[in-house]
Amino acid sequence: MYEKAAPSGSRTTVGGAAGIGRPLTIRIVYNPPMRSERERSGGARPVTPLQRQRQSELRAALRERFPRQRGQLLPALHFLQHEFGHLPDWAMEVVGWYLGVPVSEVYGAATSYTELRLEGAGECLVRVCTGITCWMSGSSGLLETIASWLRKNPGGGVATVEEAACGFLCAMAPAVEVDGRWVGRATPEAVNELLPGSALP
Amino acid sequence: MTGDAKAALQQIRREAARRLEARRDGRARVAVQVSHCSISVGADGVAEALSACLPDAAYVVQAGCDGACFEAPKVITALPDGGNRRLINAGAADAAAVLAGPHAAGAAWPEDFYSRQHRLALDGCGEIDSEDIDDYVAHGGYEGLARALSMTPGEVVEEVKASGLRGRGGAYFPAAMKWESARSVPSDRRYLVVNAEEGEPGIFKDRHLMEGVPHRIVEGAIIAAYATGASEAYLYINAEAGLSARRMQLALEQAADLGLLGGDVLGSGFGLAAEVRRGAGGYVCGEETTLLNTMEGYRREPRLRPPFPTESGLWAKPTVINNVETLANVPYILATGAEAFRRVGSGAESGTKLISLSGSVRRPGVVEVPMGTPIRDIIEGIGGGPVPGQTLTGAAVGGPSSGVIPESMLDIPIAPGRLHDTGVILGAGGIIALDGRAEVLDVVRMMAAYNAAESCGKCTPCREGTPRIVDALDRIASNGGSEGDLEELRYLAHVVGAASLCGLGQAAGTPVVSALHFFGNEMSAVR
Ligand SMILES: Cc1cc2nc3c(=O)[nH]c(=O)nc-3n(C[C@H](O)[C@H](O)[C@H](O)COP(=O)(O)O)c2cc1C
Ligand code: SF4
Ligand code: FES
Repeated sequence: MYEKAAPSGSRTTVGGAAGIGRPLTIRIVYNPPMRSERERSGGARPVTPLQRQRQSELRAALRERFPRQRGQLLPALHFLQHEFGHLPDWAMEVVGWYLGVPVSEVYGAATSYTELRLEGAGECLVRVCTGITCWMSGSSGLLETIASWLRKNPGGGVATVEEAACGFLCAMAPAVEVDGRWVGRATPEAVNELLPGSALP
Repeated sequence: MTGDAKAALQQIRREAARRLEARRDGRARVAVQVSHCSISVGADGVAEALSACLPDAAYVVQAGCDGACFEAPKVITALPDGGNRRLINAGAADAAAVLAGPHAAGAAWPEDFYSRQHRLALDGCGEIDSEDIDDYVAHGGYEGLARALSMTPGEVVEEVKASGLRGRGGAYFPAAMKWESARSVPSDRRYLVVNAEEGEPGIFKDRHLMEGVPHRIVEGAIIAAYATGASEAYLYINAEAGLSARRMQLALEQAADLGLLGGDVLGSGFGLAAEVRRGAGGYVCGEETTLLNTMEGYRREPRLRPPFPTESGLWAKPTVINNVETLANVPYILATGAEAFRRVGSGAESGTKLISLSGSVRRPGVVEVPMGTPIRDIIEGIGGGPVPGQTLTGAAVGGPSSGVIPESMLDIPIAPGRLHDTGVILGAGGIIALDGRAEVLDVVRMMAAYNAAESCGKCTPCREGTPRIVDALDRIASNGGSEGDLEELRYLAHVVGAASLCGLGQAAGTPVVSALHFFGNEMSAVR
């Protein structure tokens, strides 16, 4: 169960227990903060053999894709998010080491962009737009309905329900995004069709 | 060199026409409008279903949304006999109606929606194949570029200056002056950055351009780079605008294949490399110096100005940053001449403006109108007025860096700069029509909360002030607020506006100021 306060709106995490998140989000194994000498001097020293392998794989992947320039930081973070669904600490360290950017600055940049996630979302991420037009078209009721369905019937998984400030679909209000797929002129039923398993109680 | 570019384009045009003809081969051309907006109601599924089930006598192309989002998903068929068919609010099951049979109900063009517009940047959007450069070339594409390359960069600057084109990203700075000043700074290289961040709530016009007429932006960017003397161009596209990024990327590749980008553009000797970069979210990323920080791998924070980007921008080189819509106007100006552009719009301000129209209107979408068009004409004439059963109470114009105006002020004509002394601006051109379902206090609170959440925190007045504006609004909402609360609001709005570093903080008080000015009684009466 992941719970994180977002400054821009409320975030409800429903479901729990059964869901472990995306397959690559093996957070417990790879997340221990590594405060070694090497790390402070800019290099990330792997702690366990498994981590060492993981990190060198990532290094190789980065080498294939990005020149070693600071300007590649954001593209590289996008790559991590694409690969892992979020930005694991260990991976950000590799990026910092590879691009020659202090890890603290990688972290600083990563936390300042709203599209980048430091933690994985639930198995399913639902974002309900509550911007002006969507809200006039009844998005608060939509949010309530979806969240209450999911609370009653999370389908064994973990769903994260968030508010979005605008889905840039104001002409199609109300708008709801389920795992990257936006639904315009949304109804609870249309959203339900995209949820893994049926959330309808 | 003069004739070379034009001759090279002639050659490209002939080949494009030949390829298009071969593809058409006497068949019906079925254009499905697949865009961010229409995909949300299943347009991609419609395109797929049609591709799979249409007979050999027809072929499917993907266009962008023509701005009539309320009609999505929409299919426009050009029959071999020259006839046209339109299918609106189409479903995957409507395939048969695409080629024959009666028009679907309501398929007549909503005359008011189109006839009141003046479409330059949007010209052909919704019909042109968004994924095929040949189609754009056949539509007169890249003619502006060929003409520009037959002129000196200085002449191009003069032409655009004469047109009166100002930036469409919100600040309305004369486009050609930016190019000229970057050009005048001695440097071994210069950059052009296309600002396609479009992260402001209520705005979706740049997405429509990128999805519908990506090559118009590429063409505009090449001309701007030529006038600036830039050798590299970056298209900085919002992280969530995946389809825009895909189509822009494709457009760049196709342009390079035909020699319109690369070491020797149309044989003119001018070289330009172009690349797509993706943003990572946040309103303030659209602010030009923040955008530069982002591209260089730093936090999303604005930089102090001066130096201005035209002197020292990306990697400390002279850099021109232009909005997508600004650049989409440039090909027309070069192809048709500054005079033609000047004739569009109201006396003082030339050209058109794209408006992202939403809220309480029957026909929401993206519309293009001459500068000087009254807001009421846009909401009621084009948009068809409030949704059934509601009456207009006003409009939120220009996004969270602007404010709200009451119904009685809707006759203001749109223009660059301030629309009203309270600081309400046209900005990037978002108009949200409000009706009785929206309490002004709630609308303003949304804008204020948005500004507070998006504040990057670099400077104190904005970081500390924006949340306090929200708090004060909340006090008013919960107990009507005291005279002191209203006073504090005015004070905060003033201080945050006066002492903040970048445009976000500088305008963060405007929603409050405008609401207090126009709706003060209504707001403090919420008890
Ligand atoms: C908070 C903030 C957000 C902005 N967002 C955008 C944006 O999303 N797109 C854009 O083109 N300009 C945006 N701007 C304006 C840019 O700073 C800049 O003026 C513009 O890109 C210049 O292009 P133009 O001269 O062609 O309009 C923003 C400005 C501020 C202060
Ligand atoms: S005004 Fe706000 S957004 Fe702009 S630099 Fe200051 S804190 Fe950041
Ligand atoms: S307000 Fe919901 S998509 Fe813009």
